[in-house]
Amino acid sequence: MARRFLFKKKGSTIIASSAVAATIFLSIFTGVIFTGVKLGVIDQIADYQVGHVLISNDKGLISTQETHRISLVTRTNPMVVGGTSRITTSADLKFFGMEGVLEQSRISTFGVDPTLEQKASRLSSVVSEGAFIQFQNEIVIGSEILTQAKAKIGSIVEMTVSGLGNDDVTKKFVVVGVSDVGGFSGFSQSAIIHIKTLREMMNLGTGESGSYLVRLSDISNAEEVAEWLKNRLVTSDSDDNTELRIEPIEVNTKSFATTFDQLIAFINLIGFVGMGAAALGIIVVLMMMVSGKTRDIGLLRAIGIKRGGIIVLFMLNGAIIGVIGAITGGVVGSIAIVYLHFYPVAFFGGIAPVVALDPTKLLQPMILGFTISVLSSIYPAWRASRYRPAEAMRYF
Amino acid sequence: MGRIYGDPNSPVEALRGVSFTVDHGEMVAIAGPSGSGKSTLLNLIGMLDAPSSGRIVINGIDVGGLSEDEKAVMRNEEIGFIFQFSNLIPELTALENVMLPGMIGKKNGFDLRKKAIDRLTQVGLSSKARSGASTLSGGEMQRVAIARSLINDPSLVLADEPTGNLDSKNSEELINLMRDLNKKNNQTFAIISHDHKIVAKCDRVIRIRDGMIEDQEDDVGSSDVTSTGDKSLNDKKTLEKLREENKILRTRLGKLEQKRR
Ligand SMILES: Nc1ncnc2c1ncn2[C@@H]1O[C@H](COP(=O)(O)OP(=O)(O)O)[C@@H](O)[C@H]1O
Ligand SMILES: [Mg+2]
Repeated sequence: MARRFLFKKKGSTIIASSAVAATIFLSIFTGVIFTGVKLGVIDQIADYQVGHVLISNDKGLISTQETHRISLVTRTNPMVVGGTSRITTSADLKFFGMEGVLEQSRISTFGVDPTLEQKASRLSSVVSEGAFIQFQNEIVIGSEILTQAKAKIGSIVEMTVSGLGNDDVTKKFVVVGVSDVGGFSGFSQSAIIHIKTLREMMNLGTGESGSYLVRLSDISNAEEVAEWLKNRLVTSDSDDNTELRIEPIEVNTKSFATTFDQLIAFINLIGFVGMGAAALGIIVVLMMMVSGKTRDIGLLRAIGIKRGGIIVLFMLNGAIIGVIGAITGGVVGSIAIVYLHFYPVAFFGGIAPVVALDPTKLLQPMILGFTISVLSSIYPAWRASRYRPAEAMRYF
Repeated sequence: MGRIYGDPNSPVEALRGVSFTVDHGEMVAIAGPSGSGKSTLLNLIGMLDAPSSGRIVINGIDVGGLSEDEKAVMRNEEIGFIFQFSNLIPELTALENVMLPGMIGKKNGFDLRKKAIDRLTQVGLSSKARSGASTLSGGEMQRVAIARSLINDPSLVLADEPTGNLDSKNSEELINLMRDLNKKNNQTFAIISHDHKIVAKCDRVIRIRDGMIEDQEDDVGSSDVTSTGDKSLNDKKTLEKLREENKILRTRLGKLEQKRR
C-alpha cells in the first residue's frame, strides 16, 4: 500500500533511480577500468622490460661467475618459470637504401638470448611484423626507426657500439622483424639483437650480463621471491658496486604506480562529485514528490500518522529508489566487466586493462549508491514530516 | 479560544474569543459565511492546528499540553475527520482508505478488514470496496470518508462541509446517514455546513461571523442569544462596560458557555 501510495506516478522514481544507477555504473566501470589499465601497464613493464624480479648491480655489469650463480639459484625456486640475461646499451645505426645512407644515432639496444627469453619474458611478442631474432646476425628494429630510415624487413643495417676501451665496433645485421608495442614501452624506437653478438661487440666475456630478469608463475609472488633470492645471492659484507640488487616488480614500477594511483584518486574524486550530483537529483525529485503529496500528507497526519511515520514513508521511498538504482547500475556494470574480462578492449594506445571478476568491486559502489539514496531522502522526509496538517490540507 | 494567522505585522484574526461546550453524543452544526473561521475552528478542535490563545478540552484532556505524537494518537483514536474534498488517497482502494486509520493505529489486519467492510456496508458501499478511490463518484467518496472516520470508533467526528460538493439528493442521504450513526453509536458530531437542511437535522447550531460566535440556537430556531453587530467591540472600555450589561454581549465576547438543552 505504501508502495502504491508513493509510486503510482513512476516518472520521478525512474529519474531518481536512473541517476543512482548511472553513477553506480560509472563508479564500477571507471574503478575497474583504471585499476585494470594500471595492472595492464605493470604487466607490460614486467613482460617486456624488467621481469617479475630484476637482478642488477650499480656497476651495470654482472660477472660471468655471478650470472651462473644467479641462473643456478633461481632455477631451484619452484615459483620461477624462467630467467635470462640482458645487456642494454645505446648504438648508432646506418641504413643503406635507394636514397643513399641514412643514419640514426643513440638507439637503445637490447642484447637478449632468444632461447631463454621465450620462458623469461614476452619480449618476442613485441614483434608486430616479421619474426623475432634467432641468429647472431639478425636484428629487430622499432617501427618508427624503420619508417624514418625508409627500411624494411630484409634490409641490411650497420650497427656501431662503443666497446670497452672506447674503440667503436661496427657490425652488419639483417632486419628480420619490426617491433611495436602500444603504450609506454618505447619498442618502436629501439633495437634488439642477440646477446652474444652484443657481448662480442662490447668486448665482454661470455656470460657477462647487464641485468638478469626472472619470471614467476604468478606476478603476485614477486616480493616473496625477491626476498628469497636476496637471502641466497646477496653477501652481506661486500659493499662495492658489484653487490647485487634484487628488486621485485613493485619496486620497479613504484613511481608509475604512485602517479597512476594519484590519477585514480582524482577520477574517484570526480566520481564522488557525480555521486553528489545524484544525491542532489534524488533530493530534488523527492522534494517534488513530497510537495506533490502535500494534501495527502496533511490527510495522513489528520487521521493520525505520526511525524515519524511520514519520515519512514519517505525514507522507504529513498530506499526503494536506492535498491532499484543499485540493482540496475550493478547489473549493467557487471555486464560491462564480464565483457571486458573475456574480450579485453585496448584503451590508451594498446594496453588492454586487466579486468578481474571481483564482486567486491561491484558491491562497494552499489552499497555506496544505496546509502546515498537513503541519506538523500532524510531531508525531504524530514520536511514532509514538518508539514502542519491544517496548512497541508489547504494546499493545492 | 482565538487564532491569529500571519506575521505579527499584518495579522489575520480568524477566530477571537470563541468559547463553547459540546456534550457527548450531541450533533452540532457550525454555520456561517465563507471566510468566517469555521474551518479554522474545526481544525483547532481536531488538533490539526493550535490556537493562538485559549484552550481546547476533549474528553477532559487539555490538548494544548499534548506532544505532536500524542496529538497524532488522539486524532487517530478519538477523532474521525471528514473533509470537503480530497478526503481519500486516490492510489488506494475504497477499502484500503477505510482501513488506513486502523493500520496507522496498528490494528489487527483481519479484524480491521472485517470492520472496514462493516463500515462500508453501513454507508451502503460494500460493493465498491475494491474500487480505486479515484474511480468513485463524489457522493461515494464522501461515504467512504464517513466509513473511514468511524473505523476506530472515535468519540468525536468532525466534518468540514461534507456535502459541499454534492447535489441536494446526495447531501440529504449523507446527512441522514450521519444522523443515524450519531444516534446509534452515541458519538459526538460537529458538522460545518451552510445547508439549512443539514443545519435543521442537528441538535444545535453554532453560527460564526467574522471569527466570533454570532448566536447559538436550538434546532427549532429559538435563539437564546443574538447578535447586535456592535462595531465598537474592539474598544476595550466599551467591552468592559458591555460585558457587565447582559448575556448577549457575553456571548459576543465568547465567554458564554451554553448548556445543552
Ligand atoms: N493558514 C492560513 N493563513 C492565513 N490566513 C488563513 C489561513 N487559514 C485561514 N485563513 C484566513 O482565516 C479566515 C477564516 O478562514 P476559514 O477558517 O477557512 O473560513 P471558513 O472555513 O469559514 O470559510 C479567512 O480570512 C482565511 O483567509
Ligand atoms: Mg472552510
